[in-house]
Amino acid sequence: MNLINRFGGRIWDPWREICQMQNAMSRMLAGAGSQNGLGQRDFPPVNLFVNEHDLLLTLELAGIDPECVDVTVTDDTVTIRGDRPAEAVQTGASFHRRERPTGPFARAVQLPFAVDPSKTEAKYERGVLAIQLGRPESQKPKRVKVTTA
Amino acid sequence: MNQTVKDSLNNEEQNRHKQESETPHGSERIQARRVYVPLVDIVESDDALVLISDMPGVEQTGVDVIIEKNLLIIRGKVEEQAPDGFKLTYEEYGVGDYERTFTLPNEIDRDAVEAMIKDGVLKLTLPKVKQAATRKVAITAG
Repeated sequence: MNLINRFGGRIWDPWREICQMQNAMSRMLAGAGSQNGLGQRDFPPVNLFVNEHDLLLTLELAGIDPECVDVTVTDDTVTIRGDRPAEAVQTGASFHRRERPTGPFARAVQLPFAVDPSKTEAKYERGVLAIQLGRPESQKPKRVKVTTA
Repeated sequence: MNQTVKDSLNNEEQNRHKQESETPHGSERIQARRVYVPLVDIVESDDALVLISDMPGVEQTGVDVIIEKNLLIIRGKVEEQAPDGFKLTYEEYGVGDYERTFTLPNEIDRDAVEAMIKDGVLKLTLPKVKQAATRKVAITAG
């Protein structure tokens, strides 16, 4: 649900916040006991978009070499693996702040339905990885014609 | 040094995920877009401070680096990521602009600051002044 204010932008939407919190809770519980357990956010974060023909998965993954990212699609799961090397620091230098996550990462994202792996395209731009996944014909929404008796 | 490179969050702990920027106490946000605090690394060597910031979604033309007296402000404008016709169904990160403010130590040469952005990572090199310009003022008797 989007509330639009009179400037045309989005104003504070409590439902959106609740949905985000619910997602965060599910992830926390799903990951409890594993390495990426309580309190730690998975890296990289993903957003999932849909339209009639495709799914679009976007990941915030700044400063990586696209050659070092491995995207695999099996049925309804997309796995993204890669490595984000730490910044090379000259000897004698010291960190005052180190907030940016580094090191190897892997994320497996379960999609709402199985996709056609041959219709997959991945694009890396401005630090955002976008993976477009095609819906197979059987998964596309169909219009049903209503007839009178 | 930790005292001088103090950012606007006043938060010494690592916050490892993207957080929405806070408005100063008692003020309200009037723009429609969300603003996030970008994650940074700050490295100090003998001759410079290097500030590296993750700003995924920001293009070269969308970056603003402002130095005003002893304040350093970095801003990044993000283009919308969702193409037309797509609907968001699952969200782990919010999309919006970035902004973060730092206080600069006096030893930074403000005219020699360099900025570069590549693949959503902004790298600022803040060279130190070669020698702190101390000047003694002679006092004459009236």
